[in-house]
Amino acid sequence: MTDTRPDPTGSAAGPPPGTSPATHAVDAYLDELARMLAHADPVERADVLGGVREHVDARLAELGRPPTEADVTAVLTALGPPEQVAGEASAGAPAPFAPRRKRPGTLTGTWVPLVTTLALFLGFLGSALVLPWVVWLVGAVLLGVSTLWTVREKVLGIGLSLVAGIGLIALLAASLLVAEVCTTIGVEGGETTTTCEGTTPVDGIVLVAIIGAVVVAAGVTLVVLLRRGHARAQALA
Amino acid sequence: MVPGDEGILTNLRRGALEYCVLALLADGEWYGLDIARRLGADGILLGGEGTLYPLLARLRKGGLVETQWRESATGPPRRYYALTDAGRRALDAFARTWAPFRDAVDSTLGSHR
Repeated sequence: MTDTRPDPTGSAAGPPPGTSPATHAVDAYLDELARMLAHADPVERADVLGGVREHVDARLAELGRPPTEADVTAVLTALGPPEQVAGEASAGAPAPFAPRRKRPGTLTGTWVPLVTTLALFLGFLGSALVLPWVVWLVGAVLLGVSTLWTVREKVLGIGLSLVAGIGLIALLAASLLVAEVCTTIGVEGGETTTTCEGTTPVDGIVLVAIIGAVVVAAGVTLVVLLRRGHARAQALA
Repeated sequence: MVPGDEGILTNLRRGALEYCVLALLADGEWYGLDIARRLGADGILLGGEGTLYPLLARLRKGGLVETQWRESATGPPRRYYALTDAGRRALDAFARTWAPFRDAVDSTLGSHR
């Protein structure tokens, strides 16, 4: 359908085409609808008004010619009186399924937060051994799957405990390495002098401090996750 | 329509009309005017065509439909409505529940029809 109607604005919010009385009638309808929706949710009001305006514009545009007053009257009549339209707004129950969204999800038992955070905690503390990593993995899976925590909380929990575990391994490895770099550097008069040389004291302290901070952060995070998870699980129980 | 039917119709619509909209959108996106025309044709599902829009607003608010602006050949850009995953799930659940419900009502009304 070719549109021979001139559209000076060419924008979505352009005024309806046609004679002044036609435009006036549409505006009057929309104004009255807006008034009746004054107490409705602003987003919903904007949505309804926008939708109705679009509907009218599209109907009139389809005519392919400038609409007459009769055309406009027909469109507005088909819409139904503003009271009827406004009456439908937030009239019924809340959108279907909205309450259902709150149904308990996966792994929301009250045992979950404790087991999960404990597993992650023991897991990273014992990171030098293999079995704790298995325990950590269980905790990570529980944390990832359970719907008790937000995505960000899960990422922080898994990430920090993982980094803390690796950090503790690094610390252990570093201390072992330092111990191995003791060398005998001199023999004088029957006495051997041994110097242990490893990382400089400053490096060592910095490393311990950083890893210590990560471990503390992981620990604190897990405690927070435990408390939040527990509160949420109880609310759902 | 006999006066008085309108009140009953309004109540019946409240339970089913949203799902009828979802059903239309199941196969593709529609814009408001087309939905209004399709559902409003017989005056049974939809009262005035305008009552569609608060319904669409509610569906959008509830995350069951989403909208997309598209250019139109015959005028200003139009909002197209499409089903979301949640909307599809809602529609499926309604379809599962509707048939037994309709059959139960029909059979109970049987002697009165």
